[in-house]
Amino acid sequence: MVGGVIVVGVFAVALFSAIDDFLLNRQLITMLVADPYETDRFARLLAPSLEHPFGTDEQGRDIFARTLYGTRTSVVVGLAAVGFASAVGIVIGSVTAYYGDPIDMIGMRAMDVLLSFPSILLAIALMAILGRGLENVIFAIAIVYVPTFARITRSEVLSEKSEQYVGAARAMGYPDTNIVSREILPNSLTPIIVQFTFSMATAIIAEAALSFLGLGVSPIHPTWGIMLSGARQYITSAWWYSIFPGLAIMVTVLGFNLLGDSLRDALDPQQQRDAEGRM
Amino acid sequence: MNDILQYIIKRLLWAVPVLLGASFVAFIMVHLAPGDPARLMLGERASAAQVAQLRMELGLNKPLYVQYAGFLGDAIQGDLGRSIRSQQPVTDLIVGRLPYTIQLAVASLVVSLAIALPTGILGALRKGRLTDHVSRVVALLGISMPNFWLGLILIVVVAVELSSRFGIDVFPLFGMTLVTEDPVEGIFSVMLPAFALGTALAALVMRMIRGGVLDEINQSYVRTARAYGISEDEITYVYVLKNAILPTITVVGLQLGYLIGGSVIIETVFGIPGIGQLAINSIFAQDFPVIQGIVLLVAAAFVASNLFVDVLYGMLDPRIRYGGENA
Amino acid sequence: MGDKNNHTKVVRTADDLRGTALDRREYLRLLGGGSALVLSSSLAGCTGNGGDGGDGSDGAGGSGSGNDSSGSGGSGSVPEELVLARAGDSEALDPHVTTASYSEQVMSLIYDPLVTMDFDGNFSAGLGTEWEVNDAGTEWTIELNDGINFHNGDSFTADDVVFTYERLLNKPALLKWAVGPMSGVEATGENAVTFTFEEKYAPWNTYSSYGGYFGILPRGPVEADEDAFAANPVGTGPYKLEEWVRGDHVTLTRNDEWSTPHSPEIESENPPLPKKITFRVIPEELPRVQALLSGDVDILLARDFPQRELSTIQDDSGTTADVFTSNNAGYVAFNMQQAPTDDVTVRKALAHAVDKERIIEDIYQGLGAENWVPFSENLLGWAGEDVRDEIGYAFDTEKAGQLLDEAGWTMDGEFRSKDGERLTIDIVSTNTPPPRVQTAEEMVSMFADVGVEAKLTTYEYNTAYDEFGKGESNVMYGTVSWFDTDIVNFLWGSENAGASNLSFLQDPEVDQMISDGATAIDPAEREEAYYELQMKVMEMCPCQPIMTYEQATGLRTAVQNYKQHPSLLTPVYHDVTLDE
Repeated sequence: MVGGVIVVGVFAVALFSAIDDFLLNRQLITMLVADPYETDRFARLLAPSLEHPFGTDEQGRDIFARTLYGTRTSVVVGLAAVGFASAVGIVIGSVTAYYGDPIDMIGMRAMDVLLSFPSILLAIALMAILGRGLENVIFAIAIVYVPTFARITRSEVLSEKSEQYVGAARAMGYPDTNIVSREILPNSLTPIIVQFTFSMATAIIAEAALSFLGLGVSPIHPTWGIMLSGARQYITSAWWYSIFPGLAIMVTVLGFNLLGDSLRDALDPQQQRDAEGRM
Repeated sequence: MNDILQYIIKRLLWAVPVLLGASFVAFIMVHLAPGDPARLMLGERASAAQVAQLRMELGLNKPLYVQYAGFLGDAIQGDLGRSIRSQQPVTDLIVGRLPYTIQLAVASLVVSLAIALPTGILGALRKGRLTDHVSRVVALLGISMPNFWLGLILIVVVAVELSSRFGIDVFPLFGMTLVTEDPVEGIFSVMLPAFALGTALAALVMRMIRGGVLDEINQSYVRTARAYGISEDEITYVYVLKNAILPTITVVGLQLGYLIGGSVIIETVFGIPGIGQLAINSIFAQDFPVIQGIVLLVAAAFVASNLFVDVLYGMLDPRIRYGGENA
Repeated sequence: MGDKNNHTKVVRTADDLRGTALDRREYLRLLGGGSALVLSSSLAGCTGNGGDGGDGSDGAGGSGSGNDSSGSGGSGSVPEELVLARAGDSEALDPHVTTASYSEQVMSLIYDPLVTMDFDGNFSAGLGTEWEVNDAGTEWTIELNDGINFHNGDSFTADDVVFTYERLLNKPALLKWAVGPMSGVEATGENAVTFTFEEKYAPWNTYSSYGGYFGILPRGPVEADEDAFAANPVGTGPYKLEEWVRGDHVTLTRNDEWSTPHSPEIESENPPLPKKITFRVIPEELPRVQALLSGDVDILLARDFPQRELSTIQDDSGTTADVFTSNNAGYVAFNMQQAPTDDVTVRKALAHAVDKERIIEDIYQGLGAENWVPFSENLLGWAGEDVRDEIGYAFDTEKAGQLLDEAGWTMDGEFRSKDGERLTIDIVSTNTPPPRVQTAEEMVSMFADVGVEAKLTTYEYNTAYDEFGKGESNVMYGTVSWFDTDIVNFLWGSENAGASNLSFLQDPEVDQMISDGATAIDPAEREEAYYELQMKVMEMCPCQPIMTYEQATGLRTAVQNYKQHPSLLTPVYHDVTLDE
């Protein structure tokens, strides 16, 4: 319940900032709080007040407005990366499971290779090569999650494949793609949805970590990781600067984790221990 | 015994293609990287002719597969090439940094187990009660908190405040001492970073242990034991925990990847001169041979630890049959 | 300009420097003009010392100075260990392998230069006594001092000098460009070495006084194992390596046998004083500053001094900051070969649109001095003020608008356009350090103020240069840091267009003038050549120079007698004592 509320809230804020930025030229947020991009040399590092509920940063920008806008990057990167990873993973998982060896063997060894790199290190190395930018962050994070989805899909498809209805469909001469996409996958969706939710949580942390290291999206955009990175130097003198973006990450990630937990419990109590995810 | 041997050989053979694949990925990554190594070595002030000359000397104009074969051949002999920036052997650079990262990783494991074991067991034994709920919430928070943020907070709240308010300087603001150099300083200096890195792992392990203990409690042998009048304590500590926790601990070994990946960030936050910091510095210096060496080494360590854990898991849990499906 | 009264300003305004340049010129006139132009103050060798410090070990065959030094004159005790904080570690300690400043900081204490440049720019003895240059300016001969030993006990000989430079010439080294047209080096006598150049090469004078990059290496240990040497260097310098824990610290111990003649500004009788110098790596700003405030470190090196902490460090009773004009200048380069900045009128308009003061005050918090040429006023022949008076490009949005109107770009809604095409420029920037990104962002809005639409793309540091080098963008913020005016070759030389020459300036006349500067061995002539060059080039508006950066070194107030070379900007730790 709580998880669902948080996640819906996060999506709402992200949608709000996207619409406000692209369609309304930041009028709404400027009216409500302040322009997240506007610097003010006379308002540097101000403590939280009525005017600036979360205080200001070293360039006098409003941290509340920036934290709200930062939601957008986290959500976009999370959804796009995990979406891409799950799509690719599902295809690889179904193909390998459905056709068996040698495709299965090759596909799964390739997944093993990807899994042998620690996820954040792989993402960091990819960012170093690709350079900063939204698409690159999405790609670097997505790659990391492909094997997880491929493996889950594969094991689901393997167990469904032995079900009678599949044999029947085959006997009736349905093409393979139809059997997999119309018959097998819909029956395998539950663990994939659960994994999707957990992966959103870790992807959001990964995005923040990359930005924190200076390897994320362009530093011009307000994102939580970039804000935290900037806050490092002021951690003793301006606590609000590092606390609020950090809390934003924590609450968002907590929301996805809680949602994942309840989805798993509701949809598939058997899965308790399998969908913990990879960190 | 023969089964075990066969199993180990099988797993070793499985590791070979994975390592080959990993080495290829690491190799190709560097070649896709922007920037010409020869140009990087000579600087922007060198002439095009000098750069071309160096490209020849470095063999950069040979076909890719020849370069890969050379790289692989050297890597097998422990030669990971040379840093572009310092022209030092990559292996030397990595080996010099390794002790710090190992100390951090080991300490983080200890921290995570110290948190996870008691909370996980208590949570399971008192399922549904307050202790259980509290530990689950704490675990969720632990997973949800970015470790670099936790690290920053620890520096301020613990190191800075203790020092400025109470004059207690046991936790350094930066850097880490090796326990081999000074055991006391070493332990204090690793505590905060290990806590920052170990918390999320603790949360994960706690969930696993809780689940494992719950599974065991519902096993038929527990009911049987109860029926035989064996005391609850004995059942819990002798049978349930042994069966539930040993396999879980071995699974913790699989988190090596998380620990090394996480150390990249934690070492940056705490200024620890380990592999992670080397990786980050190399990335910003575009010293790709070093990055390549680190990625390859870590992948190899990961594959090796998987292998080790698989074997150990099997030995600890006689219910696992060798030669089964291993997906 | 910002209130800098509270800065501990030590030396170096532009005027001071012009003063020294004149002194140097006159001095050389006195010495020069004969068949051989003698560039060094050979006085050091003849009279026993070149300064008023009364240094006993100066001159040839310095008497053994192994006895323990005590602080010369005045307060303070000899530091057992001087701890310096910096953000990164040395990569290697072999100057032919790396020129990273973190390596140079250490190497300049381990190796000695052939000649010494004093604080006024005069040259005196180093490992050698004096340079003698032939009429053609292509053969530079130096007599070497006797009785100097490397840290490992080997004696320093002509062979080591030959070995060092042959190695540099034959190795793929970052430094190679700096020896320019050097074609060979040979021992010409028991204690003499001759360097041959393909053409006159004036900067050699300055370079050979720079121990950090151009110091002398011992043949034996280097030949035995190059990798080991880079990690375990041996020189003749005032300090020797004691311990190097990579990524953590480098510790040097005093070389009690140090007998190389040194700068007269070093005043102690038996320098150096500090028994140990430790370079501590503290990557994060916060703990780095804390370490200075708490006294864990004595000196926070200027390279890694976080400027926003300047007031913290100045206000603390235990610390102080030494603010100085660096050799590092920042400028906005315009690509002269890519539309629309291929049009000189557009470039001039953009130059007038840049508010330097806003960048210096807002982004660099006042730690910079406005500049009108893209290199530091510390360098010989700097003509920034003449450029300002005669050429200008002062901040003036109206003028910018006029110029753009003239060029046919007229206002059309928010932005300007010509023949239905909008005036758009592409800006490339590195993504670090943050002030540079902010400067690029500021430029976007400054250009927008005059109706020019600017698109900013940021890249990783090196990638940004590669991208800009493709020649498809218009504007990039560049910086240049060097201690010899020969740097103009990299800023404006045709062969470097697209690489270090961000303006893509390719002009044979300019190339000739650059070469005139590099081959004028007489400093007065050299200065004249560089004056002409700056006047000619800045008229073409290849860039809008912004400022020379000011930097600060953080010091514990107990640290006494810390100095810094005013043009090489190398710290001088030799006389440092600590008040207790």
